[in-house]
Amino acid sequence: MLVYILRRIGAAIPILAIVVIVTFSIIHLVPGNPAAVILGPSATAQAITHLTRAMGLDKSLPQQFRIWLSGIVQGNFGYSVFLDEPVLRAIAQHAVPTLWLSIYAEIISILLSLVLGMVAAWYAGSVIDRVLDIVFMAQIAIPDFILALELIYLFAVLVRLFPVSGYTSPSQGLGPFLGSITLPALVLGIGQAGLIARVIRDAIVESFQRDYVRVAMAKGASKMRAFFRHALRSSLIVPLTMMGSSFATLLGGVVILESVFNIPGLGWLAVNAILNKDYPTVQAVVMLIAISYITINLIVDMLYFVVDPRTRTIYQ
Amino acid sequence: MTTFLAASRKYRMSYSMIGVVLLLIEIAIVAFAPVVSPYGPNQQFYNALLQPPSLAHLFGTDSLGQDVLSQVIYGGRTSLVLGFGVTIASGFGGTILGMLCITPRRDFWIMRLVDALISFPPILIALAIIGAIGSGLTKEMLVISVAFIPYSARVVRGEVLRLRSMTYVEAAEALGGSQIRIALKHFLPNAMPAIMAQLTYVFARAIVLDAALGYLGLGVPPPTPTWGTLIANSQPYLATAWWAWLAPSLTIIYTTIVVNMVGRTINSWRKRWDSSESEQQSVEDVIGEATG
Repeated sequence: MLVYILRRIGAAIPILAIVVIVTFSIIHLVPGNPAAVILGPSATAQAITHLTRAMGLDKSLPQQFRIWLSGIVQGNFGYSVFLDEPVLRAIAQHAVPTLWLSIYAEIISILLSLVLGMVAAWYAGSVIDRVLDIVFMAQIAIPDFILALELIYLFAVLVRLFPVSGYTSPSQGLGPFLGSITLPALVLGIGQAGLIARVIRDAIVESFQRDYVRVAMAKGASKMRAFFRHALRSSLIVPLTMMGSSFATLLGGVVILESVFNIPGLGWLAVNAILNKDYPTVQAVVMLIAISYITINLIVDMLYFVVDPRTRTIYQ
Repeated sequence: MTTFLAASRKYRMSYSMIGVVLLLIEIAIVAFAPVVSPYGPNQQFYNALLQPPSLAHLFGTDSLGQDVLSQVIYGGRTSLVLGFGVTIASGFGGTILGMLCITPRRDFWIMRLVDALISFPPILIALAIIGAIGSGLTKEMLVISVAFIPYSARVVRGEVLRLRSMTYVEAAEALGGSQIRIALKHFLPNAMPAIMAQLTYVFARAIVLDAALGYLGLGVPPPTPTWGTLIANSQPYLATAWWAWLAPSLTIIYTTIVVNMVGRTINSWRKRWDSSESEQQSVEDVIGEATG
């Protein structure tokens, strides 16, 4: 088992290396001098040279990479000219809302997919199942930001249940805090739930064809007992790992949703940094999100190992 | 390629063609925009701002007095052209990358590269690169294609791994066929269904990504109408002029659903085709070709 873990981590290292290199190159895709672009058209030549030297852009590429990398390892992600603060501080500040939002969305997604998946499986073949199948398809087909505007219209404009946009921190009260992030979390959760719910439903329905469930029912188990005690357990293995990687996909959806709802999280920071040519911040956020994605997938893979006993025997 | 076409003709193509038909209708409407659309792309009616749907304006007008329906139809031109461009480009790139995975050593490194690229959410890559190199239709097409190449590469590589163990490939190798010849003559035609299915999903995701970029203001710049910018412009008036939001949204959802239907159809053909004998050339055929 240790071998498996080491192998997975070993495979992750080249991936991380490539991620780091790709992120580094972002600033060098800019045509012309990045410092000039950052300062804008009204900057003096003197200011541009000053910034160029300060950002180390006058050195050779390998040298720049070395300097940048050693900075990263020490936690120095550079300085944001636009925000006028160290990038690390900006990221730390903006990571908190995104974290809350992601956790909330993931909880909604898990609950929703479990409930809907199980209901669809229980009533498999009936009208309810067909209706839910359409629901799942819709959940997958509707893009996040469109669903977001729809929900804003329904629940913030028509019914005034939630605020249209904005973020209230938890320190200002649990109620307002939850209210401000419920709509975006709902959008993200619904978007992810469709796919997982369908997988759960298919897995449960398929497991009823398998021998172990049929034996249980032949021995006299009621449908409900067979459902919960036998079919459910093995059907949840794949969806479990899907939930893990859907958390990673959530990070992508967060980028645009935070702009729709005006929530000052990492996604919002990334978009704003890009619009304002704040390249150091862009690099840092992109790298952070990519590394989170890799880490989460790694954890999910390990989880698979723990949850599914069959993988353990292969590696022993 | 001929084996694939021959196999597909065997099966009934009645109801599974709904997706294809619906997609073709949409493409036709968009392609013949000057004929189908009631008004020009940027024609403004200054005395009819934010009008609800009526006979003159089937989907109402927006805040600039432009007919929403015309905007959506012309916007479709940009989006669908982009979708096709991205699909072809990422299909090419992904196929070449996936085909290179024939040897285990190259496979390992290419897969690490692909895994690394997949760990960036496509929207983030697209945003970051467009932020660096600027916006515009060709740049956006390039960036989105690059973002989706890893996904196609993965599918192609999966097919290559699956086909590698087929008897006729072993036969070709034993007869001294070069890697390139094997790749082109045996892998490519038999991997086509999987590639095509994957490309339909790429198409759908590219359209949504394009809309997202347009929404954030980083897509094709105005005055060219795009679905994303239409949605963004409609947001401040969501409460009062919901029709300006509804039309582009429904179009995007329609396109996504229809393209996904086409993908599912291709996948079901693929399953039936895999289980039939027609996919595999017999070993005798291969020997026959080699010896002329």
